[in-house]
Amino acid sequence: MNQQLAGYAPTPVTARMENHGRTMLKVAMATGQDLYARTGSMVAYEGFIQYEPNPPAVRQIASQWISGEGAPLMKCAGDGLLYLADYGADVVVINLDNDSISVNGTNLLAFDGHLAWGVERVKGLAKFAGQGLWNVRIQGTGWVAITSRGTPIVVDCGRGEDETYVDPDALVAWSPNLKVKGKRSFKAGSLIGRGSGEAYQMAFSGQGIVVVQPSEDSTDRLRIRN
Amino acid sequence: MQSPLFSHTEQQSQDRYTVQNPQLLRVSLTGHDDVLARKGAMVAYQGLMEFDGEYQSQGQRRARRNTGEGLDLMRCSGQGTVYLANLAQYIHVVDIDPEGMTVDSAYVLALDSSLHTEVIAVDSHYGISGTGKYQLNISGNGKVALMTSGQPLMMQVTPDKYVNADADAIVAWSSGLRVQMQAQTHSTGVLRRRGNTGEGWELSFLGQGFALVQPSEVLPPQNAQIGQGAAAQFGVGQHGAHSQNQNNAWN
Repeated sequence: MNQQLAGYAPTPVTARMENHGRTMLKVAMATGQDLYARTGSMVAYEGFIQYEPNPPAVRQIASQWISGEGAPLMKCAGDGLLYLADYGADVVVINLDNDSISVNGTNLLAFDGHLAWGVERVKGLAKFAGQGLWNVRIQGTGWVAITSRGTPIVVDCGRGEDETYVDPDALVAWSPNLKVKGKRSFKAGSLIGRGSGEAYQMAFSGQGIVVVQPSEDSTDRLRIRN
Repeated sequence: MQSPLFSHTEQQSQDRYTVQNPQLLRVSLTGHDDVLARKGAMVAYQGLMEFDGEYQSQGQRRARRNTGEGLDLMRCSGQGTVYLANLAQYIHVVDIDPEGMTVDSAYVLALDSSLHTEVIAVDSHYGISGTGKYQLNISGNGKVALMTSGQPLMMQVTPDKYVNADADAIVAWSSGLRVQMQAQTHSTGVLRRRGNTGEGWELSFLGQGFALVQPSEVLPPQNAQIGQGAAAQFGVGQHGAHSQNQNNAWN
């Protein structure tokens, strides 16, 4: 194979997780280094890799995810190179260094199996956000990959004197030590058809980062599929 | 008038196929050689061009009906330049190897009229969704313009590697490869609830060649009607409950 397509061949592995282009994640898998990935996100792999849906450990941690349903995570184990993608969304790789991050459930693509994680419900706001805002909180030292529809922006909340407001549909991830509040900007005008389309925001204060995607599409692609 | 827009000028090139930008293909024709393009893919042209629906033989139509694979093509002939694009998908010009290339017909944008195409069955035992069951085999001497949703991954397949791809994400591969369809199963099924990995059929490749994968598992919406009008108002048609591309990146 010559010319143009040859440029899309994978580059040599230098880290556990890497981007291949903007929208694909490459994970170097080795025995004993398991990975949790979003179900159905595998697009290709080399070597021997096995996928276990909804393993017992996941079920326990994610038992409250959405009552009755399993968590949309699978455990990948084996040896080789694994390529993941989520319907063409941009992939962002994060290396946690004894740190933690809280990621919107639909935006989580993959994370190292040895990281400590849990599911949390975003308080106060879940009743406003269409799908309920379920987050996965990950901490420890290792790799996490998240997806974003379009190039994300990372807002540094700085010293925390003033608050940062974000549309919950565009929110991807944030540092869990930030303080979260809901804010409604509902006015009487909305009742007579003059709503601004921005009925509520989330307010962050404290020290940390907030990752925002340039899209307000928060539908869960895997749940919609029939 | 001044604007950065004016820097997007035409690529100057003598080649028959030029990638004008990653999502737009420029084809220059000299009048002797036609090009076959997906129907409706023309976005602009210069010069004296003619677009004609390409005749499909009875056999091709039957294969199309039975397998879903096939090409709705138009023959572009004349002298000038044609610009082709489909839904802003990324475009790649590929030389056909002597051994040929197997591709899902949904991802073919244009090809030389001298190439031969035929529908083949990869594995005829199962009813499998997505790519895989039937494919289009392109052989001959010439070039093909392929499309992918997003920047693709090109995997070299060598005899010492085990290369697998999701049947919904694979776009094309060398015809010389040995292909197996496989799906992972588990023996724990009955004893505990096991959910679903969401991974269905995989294609496993053996031999020497390449496999091209796109970072998205949706098939591109073909012949999508951007549903407007009364139907959309009442939630039927393309915007309704049975729409093809519900809530995916294309809406």
